Amino acid sequence: MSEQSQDRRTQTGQSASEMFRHANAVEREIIEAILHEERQVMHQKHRTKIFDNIVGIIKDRVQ
Amino acid sequence: MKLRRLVIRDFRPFQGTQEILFSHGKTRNVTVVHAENGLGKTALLNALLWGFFGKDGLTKDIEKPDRIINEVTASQANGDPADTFAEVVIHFDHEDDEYTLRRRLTLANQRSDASKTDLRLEYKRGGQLYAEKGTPTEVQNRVSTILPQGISPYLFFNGERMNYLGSAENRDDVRNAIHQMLGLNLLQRTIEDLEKEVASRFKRELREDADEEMQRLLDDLEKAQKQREDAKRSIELSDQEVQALEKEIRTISDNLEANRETRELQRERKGLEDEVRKIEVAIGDSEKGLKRLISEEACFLFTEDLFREGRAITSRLRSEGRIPARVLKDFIQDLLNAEECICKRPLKRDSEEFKAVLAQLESTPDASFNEAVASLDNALGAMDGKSAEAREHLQNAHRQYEELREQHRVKVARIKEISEKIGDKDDEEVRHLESKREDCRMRIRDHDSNKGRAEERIDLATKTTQDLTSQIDHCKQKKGKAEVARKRLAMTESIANLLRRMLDAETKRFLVVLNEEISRNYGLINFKADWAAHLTNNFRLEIRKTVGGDLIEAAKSTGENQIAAFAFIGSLVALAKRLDEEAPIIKGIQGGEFPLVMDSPFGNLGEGYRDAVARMLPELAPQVVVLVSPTQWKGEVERNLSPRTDKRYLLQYHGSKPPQNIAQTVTLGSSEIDQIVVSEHEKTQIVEVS
Repeated sequence: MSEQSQDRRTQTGQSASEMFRHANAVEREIIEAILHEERQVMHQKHRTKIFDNIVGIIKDRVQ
Repeated sequence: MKLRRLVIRDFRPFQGTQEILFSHGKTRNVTVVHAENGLGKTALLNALLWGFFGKDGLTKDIEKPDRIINEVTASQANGDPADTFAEVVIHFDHEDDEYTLRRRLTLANQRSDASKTDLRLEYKRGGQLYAEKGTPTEVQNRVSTILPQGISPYLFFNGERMNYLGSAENRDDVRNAIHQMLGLNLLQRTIEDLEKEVASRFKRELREDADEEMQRLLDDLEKAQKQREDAKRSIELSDQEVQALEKEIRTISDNLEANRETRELQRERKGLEDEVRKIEVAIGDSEKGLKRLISEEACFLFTEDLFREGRAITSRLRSEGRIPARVLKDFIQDLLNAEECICKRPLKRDSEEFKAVLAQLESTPDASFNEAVASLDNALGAMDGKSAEAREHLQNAHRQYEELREQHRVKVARIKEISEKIGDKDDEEVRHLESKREDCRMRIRDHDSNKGRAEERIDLATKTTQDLTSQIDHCKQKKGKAEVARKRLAMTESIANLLRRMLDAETKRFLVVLNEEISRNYGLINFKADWAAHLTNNFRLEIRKTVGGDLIEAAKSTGENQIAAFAFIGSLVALAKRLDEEAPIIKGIQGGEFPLVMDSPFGNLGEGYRDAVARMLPELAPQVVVLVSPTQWKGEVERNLSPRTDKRYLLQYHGSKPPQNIAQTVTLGSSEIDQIVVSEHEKTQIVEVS
């Protein structure tokens, strides 16, 4: 990203990376794990499996 | 993604097995396919689209989309119709893997349902070959994760029909394309999954073990969320309807402009409507300015008396010698410490004199008092003239606002007058068109009111949802399982909310960065110094020009629309590539490399524009495939693209009835090649040009 666009980023408020950095460690860990799941195959048959995995990720970390 | 090789077998005019290797170098990234009009350029573009997306991917202008298999091959088939087929094989690289996609349609399927194809996808990773498993739909969805179908119109397109990009009807497609190419669709999908699927599972678990109060809260939450979803759907439907109605109004207006009876009136009305739109924007800005002035300066008007009174008090205290203080605490304290008065009398501890001076200490101010007096003087001085200034600012802003309202009123009245004149014409067709136009306008107004009401419902439901979510969050459950489910639900909602804010921030940021790119690239192509291309916050591509210091939307020709679209597509592909090379915020949210495959991209462009577009696109896109007629190739296009071209082909006509006005041979570089070869059966042959 150019310097100019970095500057612009601050003009548009808090950037996505700042929001992510300011999230707590558990939230960050869950988000990374969920996005990893979502990057897997998208087709319908596997979607149910992905939802199961995401529910599992949250259950593991919130007890 | 980088295209490596295309193998076509019996697809449309291409008989037998033929292939194209694509240029993929860093500097030589252009593949050129020459073909006269009618000799297979569009068929070749469609071979790629069909390969990736099947029948759904074909361009809308293709004739008989159910006839994929070469007609000669199909007509000569005499065995099992399952043994005769058309096939497209695409070899491409994506991320670090080498892919081979193979789509086949048998004659048997073409006769029953041409969308029923056999699709295989193999990839080589770390030297090992893998095959994507699953049904054709599952394999197709895997292909779509690599190349989403939504972005195909921006990567594989007919240059002469790319004007749609600038139209308001396509703004959702434009936003989706930006999201997909810049990697934000992953966030979008994750948010939807968390809000719908995952949250509903935790709600179910919570409901199973929750106490009565929680049950009630969950029921209310469900109701509020449903109300919000219903209102959103209602807005979406209204938006679609409004877009269709606006399109209809444009068609009617074009017809009225084409009619001699109404031409002048319609032109005047069109001009006035454009002006009214601009005035409405200016009124909106003026309202915002007024509100800002009121919040920042109106206080000076109400506090004017207070400041006057303050100044009178300080002036009186000053004249009485009470401010600033002449004797300070430190001075008295020094006398007491030294036990001697300034008149040299001793101040012995516990003596009457000592007590008298000590009593003074308590009522004497310290140094900060005089500092406060100085600050008060400054503050009161700074307020001098503020109320007069504020009054003037507010009066000016209000005058400007009223002037705009008056201009608006006058122009709207004139539009009404014109509409009545057109509606009163004797010509029945004109009256019919005008009445239809008025009906469309009324329906748009109804939809606008509906949208306003739906937005209010959304606001209310959003607030209720937030309140209920917070109550659920704080409503501790006695039973352990329900309490854990409540925490998990709260975490799911908190993460979805964070991701949504991240998506909004990234969309805004990309819009700014993309506009910088568009502006720069449009500037490189366009000769008109005061013109600029801009993508609005609503994802509409506009061309603006500076008139008297103001930027206004310019009336565009087909060519101007086309160069704005080129600047947009080139910028988007370039930005996606740049983001692909940068460290992402989170793994997966990143751009990618995408090829541009363009059929007749230079058709509507004048010479200067051709030169600039041919120079710019291979610089911006990682890979460019140009399907171009020999006439469009000559001159500035050839001069710019030749040094960047590695692979080059000619589509050659074989048959007995060649299209008219096509020369027998064509000179490409130093070679003269036959464009037409007389033979019994008609087909298109791909010939490599050295």
